[in-house]
Amino acid sequence: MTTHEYSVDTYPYRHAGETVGFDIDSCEIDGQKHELDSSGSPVTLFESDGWSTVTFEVALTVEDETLEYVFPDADDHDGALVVEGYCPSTHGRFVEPIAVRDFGAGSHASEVELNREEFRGLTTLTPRLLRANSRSADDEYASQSGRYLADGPRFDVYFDRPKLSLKGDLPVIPAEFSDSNNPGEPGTEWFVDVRDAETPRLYVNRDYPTVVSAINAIENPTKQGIVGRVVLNHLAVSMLTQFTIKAASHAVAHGEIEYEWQETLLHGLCSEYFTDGTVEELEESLQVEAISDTVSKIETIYQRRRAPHEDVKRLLEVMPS
Amino acid sequence: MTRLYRLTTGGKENLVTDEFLTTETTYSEDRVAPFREQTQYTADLDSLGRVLDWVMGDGAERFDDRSDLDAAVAPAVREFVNVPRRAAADEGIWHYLSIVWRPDYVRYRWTLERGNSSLTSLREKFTKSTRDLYAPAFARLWFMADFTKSDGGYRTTEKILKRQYSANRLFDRTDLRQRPVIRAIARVAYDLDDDEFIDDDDVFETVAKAVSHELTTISAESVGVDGMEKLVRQKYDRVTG
Repeated sequence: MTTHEYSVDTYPYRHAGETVGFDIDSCEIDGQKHELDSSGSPVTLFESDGWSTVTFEVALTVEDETLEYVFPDADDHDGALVVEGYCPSTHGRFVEPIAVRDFGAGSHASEVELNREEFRGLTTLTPRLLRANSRSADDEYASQSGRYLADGPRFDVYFDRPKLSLKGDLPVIPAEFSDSNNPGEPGTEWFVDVRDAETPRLYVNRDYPTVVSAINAIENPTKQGIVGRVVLNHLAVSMLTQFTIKAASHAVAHGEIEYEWQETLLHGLCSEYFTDGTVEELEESLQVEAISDTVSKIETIYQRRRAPHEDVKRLLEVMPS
Repeated sequence: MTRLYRLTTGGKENLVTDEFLTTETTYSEDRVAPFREQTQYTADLDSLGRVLDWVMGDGAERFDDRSDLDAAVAPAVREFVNVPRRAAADEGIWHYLSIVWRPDYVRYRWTLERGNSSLTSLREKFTKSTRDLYAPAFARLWFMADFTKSDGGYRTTEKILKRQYSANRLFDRTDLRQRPVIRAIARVAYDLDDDEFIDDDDVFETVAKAVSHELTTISAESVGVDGMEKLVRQKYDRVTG
């Protein structure tokens, strides 16, 4: 797996971490109710076109314990609860105040209205507790106006369907698994298709914008890019394992290893497990009593590799298109 | 006003070939037809085209320094392609403008002659997305001008873009690409002598880096231009004091 150097930030003042609760209670597009996925994030707005304004009814929750920890005076909360927005494609940022000064613990609701003409693709909404005004004291509490005192889990809002670009990386096929013409099962993230063993395919579900977005970010030297690599490497281990099992199954069914991609997996990448590389050995490894151990061993082999997603790329390159 | 088109999937991949980059190739309507689609947006491409013609022709000798070229063209790109940010973030529009409309300007600005650009670098000027403010030929100018324009026009745009080192120190950093931040830095730059701040590469970079670090724990949108200006001055004083 590719490794990167991290520097772990520690706040030079009292910061309460991820202690701000954040809910989007409802969503309206041009005044019409827009149903949200019960799981919350991500919010997808790309199903409909021709609209101009989206309005979120949001609630931010903060506990007494948090307020007492980050403010020097428990009776004077000189802060603001805000929703901070960021759209990487438009480089647009905004802050929407939800509660400012003199607010107590509990839930605070308000609206966040966004004009579609200002956004494209992904926009993140992050709840934050900020210091409102600067103070001069030199102590363990934040003193500068605008300092982050606490935050919470973000919501991802997709104004447009994310594109699977992956230029120079995995040559996968983006597809909408909700569409009955596609081979993947609805609700799954990817699908290894070896129905035609000569030209196997790897499909990624476009209905999962978060996965697509993470994969797209892997070339960026950012935290999102690093997370994207981690996600992609985990996915790649499962993909390679499934490709390998299907390669072995096909070889057993046809009595021989017919294609280069099978050769790559069975005699190349997994030669440590398939030591003889014969069809008989493959057949034995797929028996009911052995399959669990086979899958586990193959997964271990792939997990040990430096960058499994690059192995998937190389594998797909040897497959005829 | 001219209707804006966007290049769709496969456009840049099929059109930006090595031959396209190294010759004066322009594409016919028929050639680009499979890869283009109309948008709802319009722009004054005639006026922008006249500016490009001038900087490449009669005015060329004034722009030996390519940073001066950016400083002159960026306000025109922002002014004559006056679209909302949603459209400006549509990389397909910028790909169309650079690959189909005026590839000659892109090749002129990042000429392969005299070793000013590599083939890879020139390719990126045609193909990169708007998330990258270093590479895409026209999009980078649009966003840089948008960040730096003010009620007074494009004075700040010109001041910053004339200095490529300073412009890169600002716009290469994602967290500095915020209006309150850029305007605060511009205020300080106007207040100080050029050689004390914006023309002193070491001081400018150190201040930009320090402000960038502060923005990991501070909301620039919340404190606004005034708040950010205080922060920039504080960093400047610390660096030079």
